Amino acid sequence: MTGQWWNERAGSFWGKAGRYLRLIGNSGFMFALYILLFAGAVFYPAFLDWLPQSSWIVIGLWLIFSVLTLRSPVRPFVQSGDLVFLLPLEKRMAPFFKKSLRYSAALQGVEVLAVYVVLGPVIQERTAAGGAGYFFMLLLLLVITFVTTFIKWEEWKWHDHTHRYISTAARWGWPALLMLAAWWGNIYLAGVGLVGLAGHWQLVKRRSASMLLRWEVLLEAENHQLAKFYRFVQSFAEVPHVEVKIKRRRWLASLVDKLTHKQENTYLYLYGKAFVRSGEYAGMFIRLLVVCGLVMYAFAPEWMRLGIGGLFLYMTAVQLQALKSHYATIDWPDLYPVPAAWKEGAFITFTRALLAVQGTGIVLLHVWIGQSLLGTAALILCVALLLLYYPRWVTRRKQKEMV
Amino acid sequence: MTALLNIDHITGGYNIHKPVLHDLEFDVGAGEIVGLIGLNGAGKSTTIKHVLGLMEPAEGGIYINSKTIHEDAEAYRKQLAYIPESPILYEEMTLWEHLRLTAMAYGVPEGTWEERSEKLMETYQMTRRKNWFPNHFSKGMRQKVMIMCAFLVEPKLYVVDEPFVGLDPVAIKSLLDMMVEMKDNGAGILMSTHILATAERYCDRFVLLHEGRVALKGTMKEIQEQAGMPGANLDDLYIEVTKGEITS
Repeated sequence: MTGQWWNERAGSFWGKAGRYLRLIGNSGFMFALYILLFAGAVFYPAFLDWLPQSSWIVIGLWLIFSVLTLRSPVRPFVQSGDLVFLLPLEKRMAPFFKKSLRYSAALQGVEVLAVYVVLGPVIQERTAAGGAGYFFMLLLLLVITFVTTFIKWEEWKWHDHTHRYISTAARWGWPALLMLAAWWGNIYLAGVGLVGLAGHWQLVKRRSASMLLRWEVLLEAENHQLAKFYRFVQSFAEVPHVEVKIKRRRWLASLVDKLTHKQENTYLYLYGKAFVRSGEYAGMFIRLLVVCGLVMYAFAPEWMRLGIGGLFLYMTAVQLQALKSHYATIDWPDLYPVPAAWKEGAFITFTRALLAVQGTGIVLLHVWIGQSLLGTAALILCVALLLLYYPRWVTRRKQKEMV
Repeated sequence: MTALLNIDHITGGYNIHKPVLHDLEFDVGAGEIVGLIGLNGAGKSTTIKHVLGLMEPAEGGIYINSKTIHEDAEAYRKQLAYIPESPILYEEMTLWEHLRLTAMAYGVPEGTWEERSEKLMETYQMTRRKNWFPNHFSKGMRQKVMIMCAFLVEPKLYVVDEPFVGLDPVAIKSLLDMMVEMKDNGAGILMSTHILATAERYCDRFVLLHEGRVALKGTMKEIQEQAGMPGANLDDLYIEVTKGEITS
């Protein structure tokens, strides 16, 4: 019966997610992604030729796939009401959570598979995983993804922090050793990693066999996973409020505190705190800058770098639009004796300032990576134009949404 | 004397064709506490939402110092502070930041807001939690943040919706003392509550709602007369009203 509940919940989520994904499919952001993919396809062979023969490539691959296989995000599919209504059924929930675990591991497996396919040529040419080893390596990565997901689930039952930390270290350490050995083609060391991982799995299973689930941890994980999806969707469409984890970020938050104490700054203060502490805004901002740097580095032609810089600044602008509806479900901002127009103004001022920071970052990256002063000058012009046009773009977007 | 808050024959609700409030009429003067009493679903929270400007009446008008929200929204809102039934907090802001934001939005000057905030935190025993985020607060603590934000502003009108839910006895006492102090300083308070014994002790006048209509209104003595129940306490009057046999 509980397995059937899981099917209903997952079905209802995918029904909703499907509608959101269709919306995203029709938006400008996808167009930007298509261009990026197209450019990637065109320049990939050149990138492969340029890639030096170095042991760092194996280390890079190992790092990428370690992160992908060992993150083990788990979506338990629990709801807050379950903490009241399903608690008495905990013993009968095994089929439900088994499905949640398989689902979570499979979804992560798809991510691993996608990156593995994209990096396929590099893997085949530059590592010990060429020929038949290519598929064997993929199989190993998928198995590790599943096993670490199961171990993480068992760890969640533990109350003792120290044991959890030790187990997490082992959950990362053994498979990391196993993968490193496999990338190098060292069978014996890989065997050690494999035995270590299997042993650890057994230990963890035995330890948590008689333990109860920590439902609040499950709910937190559920909200975290959902928030990640909705944060992405929110850039394109209004989505209902999702609980997200708050990070204090003392230093960044103190910058917002420097705002002068006056009514005009009310919404700047609100947006500032939301950006710094809530959800993934700040993380997304920094990630886009880092990825921009990597992509610029990978694509040598100067004109491509220029386009990439502009594209990433545009992507930052699109992602920042989610901040606008951050307070949509709270009444307070509507009750303050502050003119509504100041809210819109504060949003534009704040996000434009963020874009100026991002633009400066991108230009500095270009100075560092690029070799043409003219290219940098053109990029500065491109950033300046985007910043100049930004308020009109936001207003147009709003008008479109209203239609 | 013109009332501080005047609810002038309003009809309204979530659906224009199915109004929840019917021809509601009462006022709140400066220097008085008016208790808004009624069953769940009687229309108390809907009335409050209309006063806040979150809902618009289909008929009639709401005036604070003779001005509607449409005449000057900022001036209207500046005169009132609201304590909601369920605490609404910014999850990404600490207690201190909530106070600062409120002070900023309502134009409470620097120096003044810090001084008031320190005093409020001490009164509600929240000084140690100054830099905590709401997710670490209990229901009562969250409610205290709402109360502190409202009293920080020191407005002319307080709109208070079920303020005692989840509060510890010390906090309830502090809240009541503070309401009396503000009343004595000339503020008006509209308070919706189900704690009738407290309402009877602290409210100067009462508005008893039943199915979106005013069933009884006035001082204790006046509503006893209207109900034909001299000497009855608020509990008895309330129960009588809920039977639906008393209409004003």
